[in-house]
Amino acid sequence: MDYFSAAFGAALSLIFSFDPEVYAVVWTSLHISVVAVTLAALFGIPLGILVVLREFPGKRLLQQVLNTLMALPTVVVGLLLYGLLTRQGALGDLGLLYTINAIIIGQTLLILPIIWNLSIAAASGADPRLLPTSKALGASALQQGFMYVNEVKFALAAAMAAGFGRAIGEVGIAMMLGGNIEGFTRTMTTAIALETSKGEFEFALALGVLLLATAFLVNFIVQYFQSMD
Amino acid sequence: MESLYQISGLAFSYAGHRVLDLDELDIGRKRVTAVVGPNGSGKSTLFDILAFLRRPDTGTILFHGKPTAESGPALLRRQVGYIQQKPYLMKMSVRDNIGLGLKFRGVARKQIDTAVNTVAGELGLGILLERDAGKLSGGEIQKVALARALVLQPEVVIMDEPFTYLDEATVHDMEEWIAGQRTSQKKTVIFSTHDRLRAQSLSDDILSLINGRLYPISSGNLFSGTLDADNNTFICGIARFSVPESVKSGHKLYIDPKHLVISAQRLSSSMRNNFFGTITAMSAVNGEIHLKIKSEVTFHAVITRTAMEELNLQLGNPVWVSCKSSQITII
Repeated sequence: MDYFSAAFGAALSLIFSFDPEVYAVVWTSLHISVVAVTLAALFGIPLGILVVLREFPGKRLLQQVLNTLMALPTVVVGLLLYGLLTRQGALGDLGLLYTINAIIIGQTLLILPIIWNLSIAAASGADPRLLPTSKALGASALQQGFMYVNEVKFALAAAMAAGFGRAIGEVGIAMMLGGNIEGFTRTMTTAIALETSKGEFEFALALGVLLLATAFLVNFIVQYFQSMD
Repeated sequence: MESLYQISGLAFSYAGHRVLDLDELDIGRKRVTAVVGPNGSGKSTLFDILAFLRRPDTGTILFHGKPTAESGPALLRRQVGYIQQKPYLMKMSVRDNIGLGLKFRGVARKQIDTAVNTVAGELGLGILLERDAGKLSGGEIQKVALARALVLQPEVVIMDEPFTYLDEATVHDMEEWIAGQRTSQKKTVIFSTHDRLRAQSLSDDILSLINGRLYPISSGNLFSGTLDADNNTFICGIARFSVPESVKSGHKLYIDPKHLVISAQRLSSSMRNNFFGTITAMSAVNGEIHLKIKSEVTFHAVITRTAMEELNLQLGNPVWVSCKSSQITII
């Protein structure tokens, strides 16, 4: 217990002294996850609304697949993308492996089903009179989509926050596609894994506290947005 | 009469059930048309089709004499102001709600504000403009929905049950607005109502829609119930009507309001249907007196002014309502 208390004290010291190494890792994590959430939302939200607005064969199957993909193991995404991005892979020439962009691609694919599926749920929860009202007012198909975004914006924000929570806390993709390169692709989760194995428990714990704080903040934001709707 | 809509052979089914089946229907331009019918008669579906929100399964619709099939629905919709039975206001301010249709049309913000201010002023909504639409009463919502439709200056305004769920003051305002349109003859107005008396007093033309079909009934007494063919009786709640022996099936009973005989005492005649009731509403329409009489069912009767004076009828008077079996139609 003394060991843990001492480590915890040292961790807090690293946090409140604004240790540049700790915050560089935090910044890398936030950067990757924010970009991944933005990209996933850019695709996931319109696709979610489209699924609600249009009837097409296989709609139910698509939703079942998305439900399954919400629990996609991060190492599986990492593994598949590694196979594509490695030098011998189909996309090896792009030189993306062990870059931040590779992690962003991986995390985007990981959270796309989450944001897509939660956007379907959000748009489905809109008032059924929304679509006929928009149409009757002369809205084009694109304008109808924007009306959905406006009407369920809090639920969509909650979907994005849920995606962010999944991205910031994942370790498999960041490790396999980023390579955990110090000062370059090292994220909070990969740094925690590495520093713990090296015996640098204080450093790992400091990052763990910050990761936990981020998770709490994200959860708070999700609940706030859900209560607004 | 110049037609705005000319419909022929129109059919619409929902989940395999035919909800509209109209052989011919003309709706006059710059006239007020009331569609009367019970719940589930297809009024809302008809209005959705007239507002170009739904396409019929079969049939043709001419709008301004041109087949609608040749035009895109989005273009057609922009000529119609449609106020649904329970209008939906978007999660934004009243001002933004009223101006939304103009925004969809790419109108500049300044012009939208001017148009919104004008319409809001006409409908007495000026003080509500900056309010959150989610905090309005039912009557205010109805008026904002009307303003949202009118600001687009549509050729036709379609109102689905505009008097339902509203307080008396708003009902009066809506009636005034429709009556004003009828007088000014500037717009085509189509509205639906359950109240035949109101339809009669507000509209130029009345369409009666029952089970998705149009019936040549201007206004009248339409009751749902069960036919007891063995006893030549139609049972509607506690009311029992004697019907012609030839009637073998049907679940709605219709009596023309002009075929009802009103008297102070029970008539000793061959009329087999006699009901005791109280006059609950009286109005003069085109020189005739329309009465609403609450009895075992609520009757609508139309009598002459002379008859009213002879009987010295007043609101609240007890009266007898009688009619012959042969004047009852079972549908």
